[in-house]
Parts: sequence; C-alpha cells; structure tokens
Amino acid sequence: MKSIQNTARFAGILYLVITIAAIIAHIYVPSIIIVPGDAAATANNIMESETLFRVGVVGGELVILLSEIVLSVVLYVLLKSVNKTLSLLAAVSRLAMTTIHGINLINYFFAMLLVSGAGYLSVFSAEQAQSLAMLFLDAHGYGFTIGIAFLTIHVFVLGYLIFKSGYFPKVLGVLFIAAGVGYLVDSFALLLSPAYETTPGIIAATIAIAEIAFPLWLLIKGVNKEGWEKRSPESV
Amino acid sequence: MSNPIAKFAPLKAARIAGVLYLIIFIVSPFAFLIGKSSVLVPGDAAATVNTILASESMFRLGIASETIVFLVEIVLAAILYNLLKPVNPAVSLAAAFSRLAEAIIQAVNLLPSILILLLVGGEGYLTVFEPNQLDSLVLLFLETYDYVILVWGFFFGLHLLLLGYLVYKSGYFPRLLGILLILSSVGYLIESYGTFLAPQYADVYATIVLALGILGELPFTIYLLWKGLNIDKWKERGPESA
Repeated sequence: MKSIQNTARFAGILYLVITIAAIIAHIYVPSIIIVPGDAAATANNIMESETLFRVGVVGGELVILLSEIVLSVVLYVLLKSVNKTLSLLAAVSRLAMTTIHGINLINYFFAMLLVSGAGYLSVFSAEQAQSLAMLFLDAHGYGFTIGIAFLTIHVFVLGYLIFKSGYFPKVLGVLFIAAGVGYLVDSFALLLSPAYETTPGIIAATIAIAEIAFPLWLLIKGVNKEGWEKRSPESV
Repeated sequence: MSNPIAKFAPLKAARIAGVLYLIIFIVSPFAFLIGKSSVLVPGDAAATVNTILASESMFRLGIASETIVFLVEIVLAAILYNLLKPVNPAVSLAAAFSRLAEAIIQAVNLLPSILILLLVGGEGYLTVFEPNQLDSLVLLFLETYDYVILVWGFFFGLHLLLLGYLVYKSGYFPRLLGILLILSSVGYLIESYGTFLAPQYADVYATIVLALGILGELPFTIYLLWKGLNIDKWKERGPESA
C-alpha cells in the first residue's frame, strides 16, 4: 500500500515538472522570441538570444518529453488494476504523443540552421532564409497539434479509468472526459480549419481544470486505501 | 485474476478489432488517394499547386482522414496485442511496437502536408520568394511525403510478418489467414526496399502492394467481424486469460 502511495505522489511530481517546463518552453520563451508573421524580427531574436532559445525551448521540451515517458509508465501502473487493455492503450497513446513531439523538434532545428548564416545558405537572400525559418516555426505549431491528437485518446481513456477505479474521485474522471472533448475539438479544428487560429478560453479552461486538479489530488491525497485494496488485493 | 472488470473478453475484442480494421479500410482511400495522389501532377510544380488550391478542402479532408487512421491504429495495436499474447507474449509485444511505430510515422508524415498548406496559404513572410520557387517547395514536400510512406512500409511490413506468424501459430484463427498476412507483409517490404534500391520499377511495386495488401488484410478483417475467433481453441491456449 505504501508503495502505491509513493507511485501516486511520483506521478503528481512528474505532472508538476511537466507543467512548469511547459509554461517556460511552450509559452514564456516563445512569447519573447517569436514575433508572429514577422520573419526578420523573429530571426534576429533567435540569433541574439540563441542560448535562451536552446535552453528554454529545446532544453525545456526535452525535460517535458523525458518526464512524459516516465509518466506514461507510472499512470499505467496506477490504473492497470481497473482494466489492463485500456491502461495499455492510455500509455501507448501518451507515448505516441511524446515521440511525435520529440520528432517535431526538427522544425526548431531547421529554423536555427536557417538563421545561422552558414556559408552554404548564402545562395538564398537573407529574407528568403528568414522566411523559410518562419515557415518551419509555423510548422512546429501544427506538429505539436498532431501530437495532441494522440493525447485525446489518452485523456478519454484516463478519464474512464479514473471514473471506474473506485480509488480516485469520480469527478476527476468526469473532468478528464470533458478535457478530452476540448482536446478533440481544438486539435481537429486547428488542423482542418484555416479560420480557427487560437484556442477559445472555454476549451483552454476545461483542459486546465482537469490537468491541474488530478496532479494536485495525486500529490495531496494519492489513492484511496480501501478502494485500492478492493481492486487489487494481491498487491497489498 | 481477482477482479472481474479486468478480465479480457476475447470474442468481443476480436469483433472490435474487426470494426477498427473496417474503419481503416473505408477511411484510408480518402487519406492516401483523394488527399494526395489526386493533387500530384508529377514533375509539374505549378500545376500541382493549382490543383491543391482548387481543391484545398479535399486536401484538408485527406489530412482529417489520415488522423482518423493513425488514431484507430493505436487502439488496434493494443487490442491485437492482447488477442495474440497467449501465442507468444514477446512476439506479440514486438508486433504491437512495430504497429505503434507505424502509426507514429503516419502522424509525423502530416508535417509535409502542413508545410504545403502553409506554402500555398500565402503568409506575408513568403512574398520574398518568387511564386515558382514556392511551387517548387510544395512539390518537394509532396514527394517527401511519398518517401516517408516507404519508411512507414518497413515498420508495417514487420508488423504484418509478426502478426501473420502469430495468427498461423494461434490455433484460434485459420492458418490460411496467417499465410495471407505474411504475403501482404512481403508486398510492403518489396515496395519499400524496391523503391529505395531500384526505383525504376516503382509502378510494379505499387501494384504488388495493393494486391497483396488487400489479399492479406481483407480476409482477416472479415473473419474477425464474422467469426471473431475460435473460442474453444482460445481457452485451450490461454486458460489463465480466458
């Protein structure tokens, strides 16, 4: 019993690490460096703050990705006693998202290479190289969304497993299923509709509530003792 | 197994696998033929871009279809893993891993399509290129897409080879289905290796892969939907999982 509580706390800590790193790598640093629609200003920012870009965005993303791999396995361990196939599905889809986000870093490296001023790029004008860099930065945003499409499966299944578990509050499961709807609408609209450019506040809030409430619960309460023992007596 | 909910219901799982296969069969033509092949004018960048612009919603529908296919693939990988684990857990896991890798590669292969949409979308920062330069980049990414599909074929070929072996050995699926799956695996491997090594026969490989691919997977799909699996043989094979 003690070990499963530690597992739950560990999952809470991983969620927390991912949230903090995501605020830095996905929101804060890009807001300083990337000027939407302005290729020249963005290229200048990348060159002048190259260390910030590498450490904050690429380094931050690596922290997220490595934590995600561990979290996929830890969540599997926490929920497999509810349903093995479904918790495997949840782990596999979170792993798929992580892999896609890792490969998606290639777009950032293309952008960094294009603004690096390497000799072989001099056949392009400076504006053309900067324009291509901007193209790959835009593509990175869409690549991120492709990964989120996989997270949609994860979140729906996670919500169902939490709801059924008996050792987590049912309301957390409901919140995740609502967040799943948010991820689904957001990722498909971003990929398919040119008019949909920013996530509406209501969707962002629905996702944020679930993704904050569950980690807090893991950190503060962990799993419910009786519910867990009823579910998997052999692991006590 | 102490808890009734964690039990695995093989017949139900087999039927669900059949339904997922059917979804892939129905949606894939939209993804690969209507979304991509129909817009490509080989060697003519300007004409290709005109086709994309004239049917952009078709192109986007192709992308939507691809997302459905690779999301379904993930679920199917998990279900097939459990269906074939009693035969050999390690081989079944390897089959699941290669199917997972195949789905991830399909997802990553949306990137060329996205770059194409950005290039034809007329973002302001792209005006530093001549229109024919942008057209040329579009064709470059469209052809990159075709090559990534060949990389995909390696992983999918491996998956079908392992799946075919497991189905053949299972006892709860007809052996013939295993042989047909192995044949379609050979088709994908011929296309991927052949196109990299001897590209002049690309058309021949494409015909082979279409014929063998349908020959292998359609009967398996129909069997899953119609019969599911032989439940008596399943119970003999994996009493602990029945």
